Amino acid sequence: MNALRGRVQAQLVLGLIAVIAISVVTIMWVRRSSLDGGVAGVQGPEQPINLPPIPNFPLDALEPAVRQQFQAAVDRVAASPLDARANGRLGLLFHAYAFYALAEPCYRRAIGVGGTVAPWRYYLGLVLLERGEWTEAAGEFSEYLAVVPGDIPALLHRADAYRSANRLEEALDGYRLVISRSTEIAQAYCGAGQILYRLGEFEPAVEYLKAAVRLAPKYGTARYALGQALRNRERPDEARRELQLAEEYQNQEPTLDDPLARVLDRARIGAIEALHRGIDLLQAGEVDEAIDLFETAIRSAPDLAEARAQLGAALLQQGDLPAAQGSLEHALELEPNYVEAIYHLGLIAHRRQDYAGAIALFQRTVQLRAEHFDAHLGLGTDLPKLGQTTTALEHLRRAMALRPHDPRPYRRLASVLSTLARYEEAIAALRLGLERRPEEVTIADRLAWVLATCPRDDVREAAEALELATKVCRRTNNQAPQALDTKAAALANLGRYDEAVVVAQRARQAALARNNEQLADQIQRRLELYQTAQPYRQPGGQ
Amino acid sequence: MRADGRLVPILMAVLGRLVSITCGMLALVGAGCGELNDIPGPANSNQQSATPNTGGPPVTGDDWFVDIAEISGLDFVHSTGATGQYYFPEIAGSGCGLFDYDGDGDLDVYAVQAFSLSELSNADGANADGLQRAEGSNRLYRNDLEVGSDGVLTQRFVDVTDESGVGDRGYGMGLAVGDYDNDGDLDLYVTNFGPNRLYRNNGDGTFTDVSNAAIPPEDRWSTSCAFVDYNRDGYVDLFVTNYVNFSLLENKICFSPGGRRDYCGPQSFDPVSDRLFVNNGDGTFRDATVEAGIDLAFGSGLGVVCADFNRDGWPDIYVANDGNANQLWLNQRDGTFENVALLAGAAYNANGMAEAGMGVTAGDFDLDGDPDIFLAHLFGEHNTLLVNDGTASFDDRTEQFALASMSWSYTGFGTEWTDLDSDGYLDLFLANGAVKIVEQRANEPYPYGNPNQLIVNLGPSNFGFQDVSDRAGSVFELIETSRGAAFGDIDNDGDIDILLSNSNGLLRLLRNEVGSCKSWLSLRLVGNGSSRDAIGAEVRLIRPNGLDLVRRVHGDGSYCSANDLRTHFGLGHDRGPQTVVVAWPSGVIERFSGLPAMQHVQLHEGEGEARP
Repeated sequence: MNALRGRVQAQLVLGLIAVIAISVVTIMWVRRSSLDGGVAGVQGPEQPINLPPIPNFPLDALEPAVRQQFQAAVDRVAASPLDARANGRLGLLFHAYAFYALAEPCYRRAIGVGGTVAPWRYYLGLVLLERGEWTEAAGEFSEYLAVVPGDIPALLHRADAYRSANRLEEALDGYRLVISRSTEIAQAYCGAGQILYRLGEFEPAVEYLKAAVRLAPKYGTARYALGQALRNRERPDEARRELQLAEEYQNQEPTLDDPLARVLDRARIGAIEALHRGIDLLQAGEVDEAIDLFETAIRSAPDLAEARAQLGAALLQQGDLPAAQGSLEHALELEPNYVEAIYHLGLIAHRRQDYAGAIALFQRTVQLRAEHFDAHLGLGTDLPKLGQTTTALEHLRRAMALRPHDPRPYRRLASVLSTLARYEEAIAALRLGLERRPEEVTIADRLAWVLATCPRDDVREAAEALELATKVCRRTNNQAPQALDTKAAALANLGRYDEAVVVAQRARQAALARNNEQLADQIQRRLELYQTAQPYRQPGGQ
Repeated sequence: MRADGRLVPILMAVLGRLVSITCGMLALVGAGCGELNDIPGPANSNQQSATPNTGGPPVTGDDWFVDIAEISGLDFVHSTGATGQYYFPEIAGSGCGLFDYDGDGDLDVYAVQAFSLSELSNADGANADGLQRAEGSNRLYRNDLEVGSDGVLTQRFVDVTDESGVGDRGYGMGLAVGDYDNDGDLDLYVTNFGPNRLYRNNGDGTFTDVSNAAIPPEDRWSTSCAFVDYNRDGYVDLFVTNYVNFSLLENKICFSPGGRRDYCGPQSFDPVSDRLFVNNGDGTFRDATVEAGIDLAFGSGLGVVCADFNRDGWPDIYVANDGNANQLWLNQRDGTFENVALLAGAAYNANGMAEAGMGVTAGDFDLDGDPDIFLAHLFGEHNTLLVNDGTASFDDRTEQFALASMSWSYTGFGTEWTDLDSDGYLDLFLANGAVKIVEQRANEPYPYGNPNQLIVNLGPSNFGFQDVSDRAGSVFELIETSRGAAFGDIDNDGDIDILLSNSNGLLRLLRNEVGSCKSWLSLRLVGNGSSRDAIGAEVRLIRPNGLDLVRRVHGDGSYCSANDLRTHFGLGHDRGPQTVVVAWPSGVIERFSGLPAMQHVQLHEGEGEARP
């Protein structure tokens, strides 16, 4: 009873605060309206006194397509300052281009003039979230939910707003309400788990967060929160794994079906927007769509070097080397020292097996940007082809220092060192890589290969090679042809030829299934050795 | 033993609000004691009036901080040199420093300057190497503070740049101050977009540029830096934070979402490794970056703070990176470090997101004896409070302590845990200024201004912070692009004043008008066995009726700036003698008793009561 009374009292207090807040806002609007003129003088005399002024904003600096878009919206408001839709659409534009402080008064005007206000309240809530006005945002979402009850995005945003405002109980109730309506929303489990963690209820937090990552395995925030909770439960190994995954999936969030948010996305046009979207799509592997957007950006802004460079990179991914080269060279005409364009031209030369050309371009890249990891890696790969192994090793070691957790420099370094018969150093490099990336199967496989097939008897470690190879095969579900090939070599080296033959046959089939005939042929030659009870050794001598 | 024999009251006890400061012919009468901590705070047993206050400080009409830069002779105006090319270093701004270069007992002012990069970009092959301006330089101002027989302070700054020889002409970013050669005076390391400089103090008011002879070159884009005796050999070493790999030849063109030209962000460039220089003990340094393992993790570094986060007696290093994971380098006690930030909860915010780390500070705000971390971030992120559990395991508790919403609209740079109202609790100051065009100011010539913020710690019983900027004075109404901030007692009146650098703006000196209303104790530690400047020493002030106050001797933290190396304790209303326990970097622990409140006191290593 006391609790109920307390809650009623709290609600009364909140109500009173809300009334005061509304009064203050109204007074502020009145004051601002009397002090400020609106943009382009569109503030009509018929405007109700409690509407905020239309924000003043210089359109000149915007790119032409965007400027036209804004000008049309401003003109509509000028023509009909009391039209909710006109005001709301101007707010949408500001909102879409992240001008949140300017979007807010437009939405308030749209709401203030009446009519269908629900969507504008939702957008206003989103803008207030972006501006850190979390309590106000929660209020707007509540208003919206009064008209559109049960709307999942609004429920979720309201709970987020409460959480940010440190109103944890309301936030937790909010997330649980979402879960009661849909058990598929990972964000709700994550939010609930984060609050329970904050409240010190670690075990329930872990359960909620595990549910979130079950629904969305690449949900970085949920992984991180789970890692934190496990750390506090003194489960360091699990915590470490989750935190590393969180780092890998950082900024990846599950999608939410939100029609109103889609309207916002569609409101953005222009070269820069197209460029940024294209980059996102390219990173997501959607190359065709990315190319369309880069071409859109170039049509809108022909001098945008980055768009041409990105287009070149995308075309290179598609394998269209001439078109890629043309686009990259055009980027360099616009910005002669555009490092990424130079690097990608180097990649094109590499693909064409013009190693001298590739090396020159990679060298130019590191000359301009001494810590360009990919260029160092490229030099480490191509220099040995021209016999310049010493310089190659320097670049690979530089790449290792730049990205100590990237497996590629370790593998390539080991490969170059092996060709020089410096097997101990190759093995040491791979062991270092494995120490830094213990889960990295490609390094483990490479190490197992060297240990199993090294021509020098004093270097080979057949038992360790088999142990490593077996682990790699297990982790690749016995489907990776290279891993199976390595395991077969290790078995043969131990004199277990019958088993080696079986595993090598499986490796060959796996290679053929992947259309890797070159590897299949190599495995076949090794298979023939095993069938005659001979181990495989890398070329080279004692 | 009592430390009375070595107590050196540098100035007379300050007579509260009776003190006035004059500058030349102009007398500045201090404001009334409007108290920051009259907002709801912990009950103090000695407090005369315990009446709860729900509305903030008494309305006295007086400002809590007053800018005295101009009237005291600080005429420095920073220029980014921007000419519309949007070179990335232009938006980073510069820092400033407070240190007693001439050993006369008051803090002098060092202001870092930039210049126009456009002219250099036209030169053949111009890049970050050897960047030097033709005119203008960093400036050193000597503090000629005098105390009259009537207790009246006269404060005047005199530009001594030319005679001192520290007018560095690089594209200036920041500085660190420490006595690297243990000769009793403070030396200076200056970071630049371009070659950094080391200036050895000659002890006679002049410095010698020993960059070429004494330390390996660092000519990348360096930002904040810190002297730290990481190997505890009695000589301070040097950690230098580097930002990104940018050259004028490679200036990228970036836009705001609507297509308007604006500065790029750090993601447009590759991050670069920080540097660690170990002091050889003979007046030179050597590069220990690789042997210490510092090259194994790096980001776009802007801030650095050194403290013993895991309480093992060895200094650790925390680096704030802009847009990528922060590093927590735990000292392995063998000359190497291990970055444990991810597992320690110190790499990202509570959502596992990298934020735009700019300024950073470490201090025991919650009185549990360990250093907690506060990071200043970008508009649209919140500043982040990482609370230490004493083992270098951190939790992001920004929202619980009500620090999230108050920073959402601003971009923060310089910041410091410092007890501005001398109530014993560490408050926060934030030097704010945007790095992208502020949409509401798009019509202005330099549309990056934000107001600065003063945030008071309500104390453990209230468990939170309150932004009191709107009551702290007209200097908090200014909309400027602030970057560096240095903290120290510029007028030796017992409270912490603030030196503030503004991009394309005036250097400001915010004199604290409220901190000396309460009791205080200021300590200057002198090492003997530890480094002479005692950087890294931990001082615990014993409070029989409350939680102990723990402070460390440091000049680092904030953004590209150097703080007063003296240790300040706010004592509230306790004016009685004080006891402190000092853990010197050498490992020696000593107790000093009977220290008089409201005094500046020197403590010498080896002259206290030894503690096990």
